[in-house]
Amino acid sequence: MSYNPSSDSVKKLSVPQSSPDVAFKTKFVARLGSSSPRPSQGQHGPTHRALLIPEVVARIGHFIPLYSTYLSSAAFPRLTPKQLLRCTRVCRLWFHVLTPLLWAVVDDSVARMIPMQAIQRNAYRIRSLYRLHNFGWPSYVACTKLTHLTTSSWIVGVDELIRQNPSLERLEWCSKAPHTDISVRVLSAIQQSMGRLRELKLVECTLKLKDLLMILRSMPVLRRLEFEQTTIQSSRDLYTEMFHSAQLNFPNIRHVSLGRGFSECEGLFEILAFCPRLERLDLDSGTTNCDGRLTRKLSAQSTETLATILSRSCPRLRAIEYWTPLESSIQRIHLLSGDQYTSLVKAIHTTPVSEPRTSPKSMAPSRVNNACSSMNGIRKSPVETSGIEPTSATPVSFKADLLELDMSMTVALMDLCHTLETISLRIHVYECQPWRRHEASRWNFKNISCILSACQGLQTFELDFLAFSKADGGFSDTSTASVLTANQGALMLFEDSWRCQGLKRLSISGLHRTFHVNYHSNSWERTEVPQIQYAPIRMKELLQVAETPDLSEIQDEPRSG
Amino acid sequence: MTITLTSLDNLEFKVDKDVAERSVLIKNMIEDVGESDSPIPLPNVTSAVLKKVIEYCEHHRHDPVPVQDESDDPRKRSNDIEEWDMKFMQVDQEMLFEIILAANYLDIKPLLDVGCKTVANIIKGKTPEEIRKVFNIVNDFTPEEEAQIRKENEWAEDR
Repeated sequence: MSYNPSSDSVKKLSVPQSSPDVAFKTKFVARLGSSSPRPSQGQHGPTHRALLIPEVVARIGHFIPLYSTYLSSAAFPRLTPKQLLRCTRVCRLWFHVLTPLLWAVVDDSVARMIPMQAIQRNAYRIRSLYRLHNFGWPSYVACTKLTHLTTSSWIVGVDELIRQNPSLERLEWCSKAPHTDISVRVLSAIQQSMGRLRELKLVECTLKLKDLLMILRSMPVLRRLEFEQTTIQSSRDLYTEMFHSAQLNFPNIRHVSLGRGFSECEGLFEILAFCPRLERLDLDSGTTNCDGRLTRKLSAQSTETLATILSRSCPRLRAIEYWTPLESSIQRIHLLSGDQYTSLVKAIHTTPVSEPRTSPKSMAPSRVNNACSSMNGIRKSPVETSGIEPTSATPVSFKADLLELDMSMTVALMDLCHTLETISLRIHVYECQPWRRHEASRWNFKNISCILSACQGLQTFELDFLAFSKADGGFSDTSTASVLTANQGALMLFEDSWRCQGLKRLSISGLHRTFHVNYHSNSWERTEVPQIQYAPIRMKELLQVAETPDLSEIQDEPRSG
Repeated sequence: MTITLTSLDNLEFKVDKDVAERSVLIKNMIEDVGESDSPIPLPNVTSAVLKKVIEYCEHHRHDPVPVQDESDDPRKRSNDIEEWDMKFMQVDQEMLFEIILAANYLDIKPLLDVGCKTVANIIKGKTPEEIRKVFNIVNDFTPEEEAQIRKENEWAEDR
């Protein structure tokens, strides 16, 4: 492709007539269109043709930093538009291509930094708007071409903002006041205007299941649904009636994410019954909810309820991710038990899902395999020419945070031996004493050895240990015996012959790393023991010597952080 | 399997299939035409540039296929370049832009991004006049246009 300042490219980059400063911009565009298509001649030679291609200039502009974390945090970076603005002054092409980048994403911090007149003048360029507070903003900003809106009920006129942006593809709405007139108006606006929405996230909302289902009906192309701290009030009679209604299912929803607080609202689980083509379910076990209260861990009964709904209603489910933030890991809360994990894995279907064959090229339904993991690299079969959606998507990656890799989980993974290509495990160990940690790691290693012996298609295997001990009673893990004990455990990986002939990457880490945790302040420090390098022969000698490590020596070691 | 690529100046390069398929263009061509011993012509890429592109693809042959990030938020964007890539991109400006063009044509997004990040790093900290000087770009604004743009954006001068 090349840059040709012909009428087509001028039209593509031209400014809408309804925007402010039309006179200046119209004149600007006209002069650009009237220039002859020849390479620029700079002071020391011609401009390279790459810099005359709008798509290349745009991609370069994409990497000119617009935000900085210097003197601010990664969560709330500082807007630093100076460099990008300088680039818009280089030449007309750069002005046209880079100015939209400057205004593509606007958030609350902008209101404190940029004159409101500048925001209003460029409102038509804004594509992603993050407005959670009303600080410094007027009640009405003329954004009409938004594709992404994150907002809350604090914003006056948010319902009108939603109505004037029917092209929204992603909407995130936080309802701070669930039972007010604002919420009703906003929900009405969402239902009436969001026909093109592909992703919807509701935060701190309280809804009746009936109302939510009516809203979802108005979003025929919705693919991803997220909830955080949201309560769904269900009615059993209504549920039974709607469940059997052919009109009430949402065939395009592929991904549902239940965020913080999901464990306390089984009404959220019932939505899954209306998602027959659900492929991925994320469960976020955040520690606290919006008012700082500790959330309840997912109970065994709730896990069974969820597993039952998934088994009955979601035949295409490929992955469930149960995600635990590190602070939850440290407190040992919200990690599921092995039985709960296994229950969720088994809820995923293992029987083939067949589709009617209407063309000679239709794919035979293949075995639907499952993973309890975060999905990465789903391999799909070629799309059939008949237009029927393929049914043979098979997961190829498994990632999980686990307390331990017990036998039932091991068996569940071995059931996936024909499809898995990547296994990435992070095992949390909460033992104060190093020798106990190493015993736990030996147990896990043995089970991992079984998996490696079964999974013939495995290409990548990663194993990381997260070991936690008390900061005030931490053990310095420097003894040769304890290191060798860990190494011995790792050697158990190689006891059985592996079937994964195509293994390309093997990573084992964390054996000698400990997080020393101060449980009072919920802070932690990480220590790494210097790696001990052995020549192969020396290793063998040492292993023979250290077959029976002297545990008393470890227990009596001076306790230092 | 080995794929033969022919450059603009008719030099042939034999590469492994998985290396060649780092280019989405080549990958699609192979899928459409089927595996064949016929060389694939790349009339837009000279041998010197193709050699560099192949070097990049061979180094990154085992990298995971990049996933399209639909929600690209500039607040979370990173300009970091790996050490190997940084050394790889220590070339003259002509070669740098030719690599960018080749990556764009061959649809090798990671290589395109590395090239563009390199250019963005060159731009960092420079005034408009300095940018023009480095890249031989003509200033085609009128004085009035420049003054108006500067006035509209003077709020950002210190940020």
